[in-house]
Amino acid sequence: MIHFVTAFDAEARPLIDHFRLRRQTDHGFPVYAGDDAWLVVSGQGKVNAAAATAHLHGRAGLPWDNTWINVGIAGHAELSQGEPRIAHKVTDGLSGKSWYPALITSAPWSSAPLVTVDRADTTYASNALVDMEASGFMETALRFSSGELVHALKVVSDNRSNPARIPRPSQVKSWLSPHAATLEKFCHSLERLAISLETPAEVTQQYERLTAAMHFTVSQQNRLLQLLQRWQALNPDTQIPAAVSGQATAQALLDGLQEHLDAEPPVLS
Amino acid sequence: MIPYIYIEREIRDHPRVEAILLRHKRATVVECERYGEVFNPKAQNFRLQKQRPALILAKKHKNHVQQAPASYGVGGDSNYYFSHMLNCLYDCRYCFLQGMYRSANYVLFVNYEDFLTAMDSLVLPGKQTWFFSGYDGDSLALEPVTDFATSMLPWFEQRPDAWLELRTKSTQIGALLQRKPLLNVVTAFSFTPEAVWKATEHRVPPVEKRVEAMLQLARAGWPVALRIDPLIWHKEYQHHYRQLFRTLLEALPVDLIHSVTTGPFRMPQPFFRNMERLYPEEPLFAAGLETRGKMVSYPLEREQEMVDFCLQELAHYLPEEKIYMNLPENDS
Repeated sequence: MIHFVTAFDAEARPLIDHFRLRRQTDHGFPVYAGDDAWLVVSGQGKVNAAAATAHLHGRAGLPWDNTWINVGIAGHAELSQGEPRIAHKVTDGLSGKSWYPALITSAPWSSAPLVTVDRADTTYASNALVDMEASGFMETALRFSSGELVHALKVVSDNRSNPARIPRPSQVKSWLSPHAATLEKFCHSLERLAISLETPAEVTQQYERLTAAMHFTVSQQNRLLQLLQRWQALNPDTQIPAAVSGQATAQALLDGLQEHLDAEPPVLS
Repeated sequence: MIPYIYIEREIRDHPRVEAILLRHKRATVVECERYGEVFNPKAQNFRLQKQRPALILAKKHKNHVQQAPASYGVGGDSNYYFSHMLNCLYDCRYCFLQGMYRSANYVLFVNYEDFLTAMDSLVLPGKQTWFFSGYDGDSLALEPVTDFATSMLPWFEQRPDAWLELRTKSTQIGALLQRKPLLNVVTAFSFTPEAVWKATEHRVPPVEKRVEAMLQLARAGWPVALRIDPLIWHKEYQHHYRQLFRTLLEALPVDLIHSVTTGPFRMPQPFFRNMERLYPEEPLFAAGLETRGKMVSYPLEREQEMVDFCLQELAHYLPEEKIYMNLPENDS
């Protein structure tokens, strides 16, 4: 599942349209959901971005190692309005703390450093993108997901020649809309990475079947999951033998399975 | 191709950094304060990063050279190891690096001269002092990027009491072949049987290519060595190891071999747990291992059986004084 965090409704609108998201009945932050994606509108500033990211994590069922993208507008000294950039370094302007989002799949956009400031910056002194949310988003999203799956995509809204002022919503939409389809492809490439981190379905199915049939303590449940993963690694797509699964107690089942696994050397080919 | 190069601000103008950037003009350069900012954060996944590792150029500030474990050696008077790199081009499923580090990015410490200064203080005249390279990454695999061997060899040429082991699975031997051989620089090639190579040593050149590289070096007068570790238990392991030894030791005249070491698979438990979590589908981790003390290894009896078998087989080809047994720390 993809999780988008935007600061403003105008930044969210192209994503809501493209991903066919529907407004949810949340209090606190506007939340949207669809078949493939969730979206939250945080409001301006890194504290709001952090809070909204945490809110969406809870709202989406506390997912682990999913895709998280902060999408929005940013300033840059020289880049033209409408130019997209993915961040390869996000720095909190106040604390100086930096994050380095790892781009494992090739991104369709060039990358740039991004600095998050607390007050709108009109000096255009650095060669970095400047926004007001990304550091709060990174700090929070990285608690729920691996760094390869958490990114910030910004489209330039202002520069030295066109200094910061509040852009019209239609203007923001026109900058972001052309990138929605590319963003979807990029998100799917991240999703494929995320899937490789999930427990195989065969393991989950056997685990659910066995724990429904007999009582396992919490530590026995952990051991069962570990042993079933080992079983799957050595005997892909094969059910554990009936002589093992038919044991009368959880302990006997676990010991039987362990014994089975330790006896045979792995076939390496 | 390396897509991203992270550089510590302090060494941005280091000549070795400039040279690397010239060879990687298409890479995106990102400045950082300390390499740990990129390499150490918790929210990283080694398995994902291994698909497209970045290069981090850094300066090592201390502990350039460390004492080797007491059980490790190939006949020298004192033994040290050092790591100019963290992580490796290859992706060997049994490798401890994937359990030890959160990041699969390559870290290259470019201040080679500081490593040499540290070594200089440890060499005792008339004594054989060994410096083992390749503990935290392959010594030669990234030579075209690092120029590591090229930079280190002139120093060893001037110090015959200092011995260097370049441990590798690569065939990148050009830097050595370009110059006069040094008898105190031993290139040690690691091998596992072909079945293990195929199943677990991803991106490592095939056994026959490495044998070819080893022969080329030996014929050019460079000492070479064999490293048969970790020993991996698998179906028909005896047949496979016997075949490996035959391939290696029939190709390479015994007098050209400096040494052969072998040792069992042992892994600190926390590293093993990380590896298991990263690769739950890996058969290697799924069968026949147990926790003994703080280490995960094969049961003692099985381990002994494998070690005895390999030592016996090696003894058919080599004199005893060339064979060394390396038991990792704890209960060697």
